[in-house]
Order: sequence, then structure tokens, then C-alpha cells
Amino acid sequence: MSCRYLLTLLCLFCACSNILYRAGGDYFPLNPGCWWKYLSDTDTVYVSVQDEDTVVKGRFCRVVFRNFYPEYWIKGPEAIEKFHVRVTGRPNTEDTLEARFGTVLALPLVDGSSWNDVFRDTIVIRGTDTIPYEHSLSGRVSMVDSISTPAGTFYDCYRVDFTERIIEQTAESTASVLWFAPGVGIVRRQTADDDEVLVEWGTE
Amino acid sequence: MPAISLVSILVTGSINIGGNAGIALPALNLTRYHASAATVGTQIGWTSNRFSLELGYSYAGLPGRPQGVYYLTLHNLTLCAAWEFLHRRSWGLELSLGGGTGFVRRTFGQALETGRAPSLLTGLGFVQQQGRSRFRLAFTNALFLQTPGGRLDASWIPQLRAHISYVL
Repeated sequence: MSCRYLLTLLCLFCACSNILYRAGGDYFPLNPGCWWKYLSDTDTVYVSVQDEDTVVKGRFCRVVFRNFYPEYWIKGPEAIEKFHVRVTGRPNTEDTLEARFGTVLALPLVDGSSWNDVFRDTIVIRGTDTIPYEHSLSGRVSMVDSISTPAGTFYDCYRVDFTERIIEQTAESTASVLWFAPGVGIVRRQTADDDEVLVEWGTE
Repeated sequence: MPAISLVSILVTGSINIGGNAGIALPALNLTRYHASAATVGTQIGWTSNRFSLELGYSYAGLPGRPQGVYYLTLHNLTLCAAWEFLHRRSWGLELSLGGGTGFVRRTFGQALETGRAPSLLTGLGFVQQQGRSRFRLAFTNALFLQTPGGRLDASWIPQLRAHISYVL
């Protein structure tokens, strides 16, 4: 009987939940030379981080190529920010609706945490016409998960549910779910019509 | 027979009760989001000549880096054994080894994540005993062990603490 109590006590003391491992984990590595290859139903996506930083809007940022199209990211201690650009076309000219860094992830990731990044502006065209514009991106860490991909099984991943809403002349809303693995980054990206999974990753 | 030996060992020693305060310095990966913080605790110990055994509790609340809405709090229950490798009449230097369990809470605004991690402690300390007061200044390495994906991983939180106890 005493042995059973001792074993129960030992199990209670030894059971761990990897919480400190997650607390110190880098869930969005943006180191120069890092690359990821994803496979979806319709496409292969290559993502890589350029070796040298660049300056956008007076801020140093990392250049990340997603299928050779550049994206600009800033990794700070409190947030991961992305440079959002949106233009509207008119005959012979273009109007910039949005060109700014917005929060994509609030750090550190904690199960249940949520954030919302909202940008509102009114664009004046030809001195008289106005276009109200709004771009919001909200995220919520919905669970700690393990996920299997062709690149392997990743443990202690955070699943983040995103909702992006853009109101220009019409309103459009898109939902996506991303899984972030410590030391790896995004291992799966699921949208309404696509499901990307990590196939390979590494550093050049 | 072993019970009699244990009783005789216990009788020859002394019991002390006290508190401790110090600083917890998160290291390695934990420095990414956590800053150092004050730590406080309490302990009950038994000392006999060069050997001591101590049951302790400590609390540390590590703020986010930079300080904001994020916090990591750590409640640590430990059992440590120490041996004075240098023993003088009223002071000594000791090495300690122990284990325990850490109860961890991470909060980010309203979000809360809780968990537990077994800990391994090693330390080096200076001890001084005068009359009924016992003072110890110790540097302790607390390694919290985890098994992500089946492999062993450790989170390191070194601590510098001053312990003051009353010898009963």
C-alpha cells in the first residue's frame, strides 16, 4: 500500500507539461538563410529569409520571399509585424490605401491569448471622392497541439486562429488557421480553400 | 535497527526554520521573453555537523521582456541535501544537491497557461551559524526538466539567495 502511495507521489512530482520549454521557444524564427517548403493541394510554396536586412518606412526589417515575392517582416520582443501594402487602381494611376507595419503575432504566445490590429483611413481621390478603408487582423491562440506533416511530427505547437477583414468599397473577410512549432515556425496553414503543410525546412 | 539509527542521527542534529530572499536570473532560451526578478521563500531544515537536509518553497514572478502584460510565475517545492566540504567552528562552505517540482503559470492579459516541471538543483553556499541563528548565502542552479517530443530538455534558472533561519 505504501509503495502505491510512493509511486503516486513520484508520478505527481515527475509529470511535466513542457510549459517552460514553450515559454522559451522561438515560434517564428526569421534567421537569415532559413527556408521552408510547403505543399498544398494545388501548389508548392517556397519561403526563404534573405541574408541581409533592409529598411522600409525607416525601420529595419527582414525580407522574406514567399514564392519569390518579397514580404517585409519585423521581429520584436513583443510582436511579429508585417508590412501591409494595398493599392487601388484607376486609369493611368494608383492610390495607396495602406502602407504600414501591422501586428501579426503578439509575443510571447500563450494559450488563450488574443490580439487585434486595426487600421482605418479615408483616401481622397481627385480632391473630392473619398474611399473609407479598414483593415483588421485578429488572432487568437486556440490550443497547444501536436501536428504531423511530411517533414515530421511537431510537438508543443501553438494553433492560432486568424480573421482578416478588409473594408474598401465592399467588405471581405478571410479566416485561416496556422500552427507554429518551436524552432521551426509555421508548419501548417489552413484556409477555406487551401491546406499547406511543411515538407522540408532548413538553413542554407 | 535502521529506525533506531535514524532516530539517533535526528536527535544529534538540530532543526531550523526560516525564510529566504534573492534574485532569479532566467538563462538560455528563457531570456528571450523573461527578465530577472526577486524571489522569496521559506524553508525548514535539519542540520547535523557537516550535513543538512532542507525542505523549501520559493516563489518567483518573472516579468515579460519588455515589461508589459506578460508574466511567468514559478512556485517551486524542493528537497535539498547539503554537505559542508569546508567546515570551521562558526562558518563553512557547502555543496548542495536536490530535486523538486515547479508549478508554473504563464499569463498574458486574460490568457492563462499552467503546467508543472520537475527540477534538479545544485548549489554552492557560504554558511554561518552563531548561537540560534543560521545564515546561508547560496548560488543555486535550478534546472527544470521536460520531455518535448520524447527528448530531454532543460530550462535553466540560476538563483542567488540569502537564507536566514532560527535554530530550534
